[in-house]
Amino acid sequence: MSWSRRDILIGAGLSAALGGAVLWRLSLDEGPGPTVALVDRAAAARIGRRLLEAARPPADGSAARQRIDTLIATLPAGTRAGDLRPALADWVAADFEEGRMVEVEGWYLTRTEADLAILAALEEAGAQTG
Amino acid sequence: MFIDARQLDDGSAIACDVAIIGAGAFGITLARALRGSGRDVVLIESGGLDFEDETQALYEGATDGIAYNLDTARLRYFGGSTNHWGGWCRPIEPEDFEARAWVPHSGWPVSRADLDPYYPRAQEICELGAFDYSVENLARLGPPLGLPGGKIADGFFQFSPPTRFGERYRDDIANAADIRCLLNANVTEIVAAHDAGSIARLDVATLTGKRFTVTAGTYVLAAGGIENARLLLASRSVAPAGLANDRDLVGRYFMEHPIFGPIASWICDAPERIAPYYGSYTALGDAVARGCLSMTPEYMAREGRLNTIFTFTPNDDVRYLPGRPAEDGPIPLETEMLTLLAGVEPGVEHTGKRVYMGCGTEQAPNPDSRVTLADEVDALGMPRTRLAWQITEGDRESLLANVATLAAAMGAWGHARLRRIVPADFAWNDIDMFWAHHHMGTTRMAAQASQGVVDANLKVHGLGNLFIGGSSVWTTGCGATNPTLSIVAFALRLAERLRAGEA
Repeated sequence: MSWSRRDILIGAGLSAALGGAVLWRLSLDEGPGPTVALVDRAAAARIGRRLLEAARPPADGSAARQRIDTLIATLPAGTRAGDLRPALADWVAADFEEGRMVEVEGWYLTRTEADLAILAALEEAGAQTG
Repeated sequence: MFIDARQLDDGSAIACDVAIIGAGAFGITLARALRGSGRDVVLIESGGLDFEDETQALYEGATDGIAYNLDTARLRYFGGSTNHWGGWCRPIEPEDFEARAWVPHSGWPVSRADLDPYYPRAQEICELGAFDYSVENLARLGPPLGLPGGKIADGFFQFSPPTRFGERYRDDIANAADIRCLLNANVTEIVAAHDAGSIARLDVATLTGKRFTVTAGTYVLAAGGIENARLLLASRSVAPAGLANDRDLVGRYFMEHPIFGPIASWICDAPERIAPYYGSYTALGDAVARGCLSMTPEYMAREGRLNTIFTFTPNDDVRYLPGRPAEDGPIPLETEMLTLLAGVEPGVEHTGKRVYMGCGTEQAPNPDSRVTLADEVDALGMPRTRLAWQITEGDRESLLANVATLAAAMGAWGHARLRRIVPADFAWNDIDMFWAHHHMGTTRMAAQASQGVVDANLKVHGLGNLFIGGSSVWTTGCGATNPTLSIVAFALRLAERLRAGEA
């Protein structure tokens, strides 16, 4: 299965629709997106591709983008992209504690990690097709 | 002393104070503990001192439901199944004795406090270390994992050499003036008195055709978790439905411990946090220990789950090289998962550890999981065993939920991600796993005769002089705790009551 430029744009559009609560305009086409928090975006993209291929929730770029933007909106004003990684660690820990997990090929990861992995996969695809 | 029953005169009548059927962990322990009590004990063993095919074949039977090999799951000679046990020991946890609202038919009529006085001596008999299974004791060797969330508990097993009761205690039986151990002697019926309120005698046969009887004041059936039920059901000359089976409970509630090895793997970015005792047999004082993980009582109560005990073995290193695609390893996405862990920094090479995890898991008591008699008879003319073992969808769901809970705890810990190896939709009959050979529940213990076969003192409800020993009296599966240590503790408890004249 492949994913289209349209998927990416829909995801970005939903993000923009969240309005002023979002600190960054997290366009996949402009500047660093939330996947900057990942240690290795290429590795995460491989996870994301498996999630998209599995075509199960949350294998949906727009929904993933919306959930990540909602999390980012909880950060203090002025938070910089470089500060995103500690926040991600907190979100991941909270997800595990609350049992918000996603399975991919038997692996358990958090919904937030899965969302970022999907975004990384879509970014990669966008770069390849754009 | 040992007596080869094949040398007895046909039609002999042997009398004693206590007749014990079965020279396994329970029977040998009970006989030894009664030495010097002034009671004349006859210990009746189907086999000889060594394995013989013809005797072992008496265990063959038929199965319905889940496939099970009845004749290799236990051993039929002096020492019983301790001749092939693995030596894994843990006491039954206090919460296992309690009635659990989410586990139908749970709740023993005894508590852990009733067994605690006997566990230290049972530890000695099983050649273990001190009776201290506390996490604090384990922590003397290094910090336990201590996974967050309060759902996963650290613990450990102690390991018996394993004690082969038939070898280790053979001389004790041979030299005891008040024990006669009849070898090659097969009890074919426990014959009730005509009022069916007590036992009148045992009918015994040898494979060479000799027939004789044993009479006693007290009878103890300790032939194993399957054979106990078979012998009661086959004892029907007075009670047509089988002895002690007027409520149709004998043979029901059969339980085992499904074993998965492995059920999961995990990747850890901080191998130094995995204490060596989790992965290998480690000296702990005078004990040999190995760490394990299990579900906490609080979690099981809150989520309505059964228990699962996890053990694990660190495997190969897994290297993460920034910017390089992951190499294909035995576990897909493993390196990618490593990059999600707290200890991996951007642009820095890192070495993680692959860990394989096995488990034993609990099944809930199920009256439809049962031992009955087959139409076919064995060489002695006794009906063979038919086992219709069932494990339910609820048991499967509980196991999978426990694996997911462990995955979440490892994730919250920050240093591991877990991959379940078995598919989520596995079927018990199709999955690659094996069994612990722990046969439980077929003569279950309950305070009331309507709920079980024996009472809190192992006495058969409604029969004045018959007791049952072994894990057939287990009311629940007790997590995946191996039963031998507790079987020995129960034998010591019964011996004390018999010596005191309380039973």
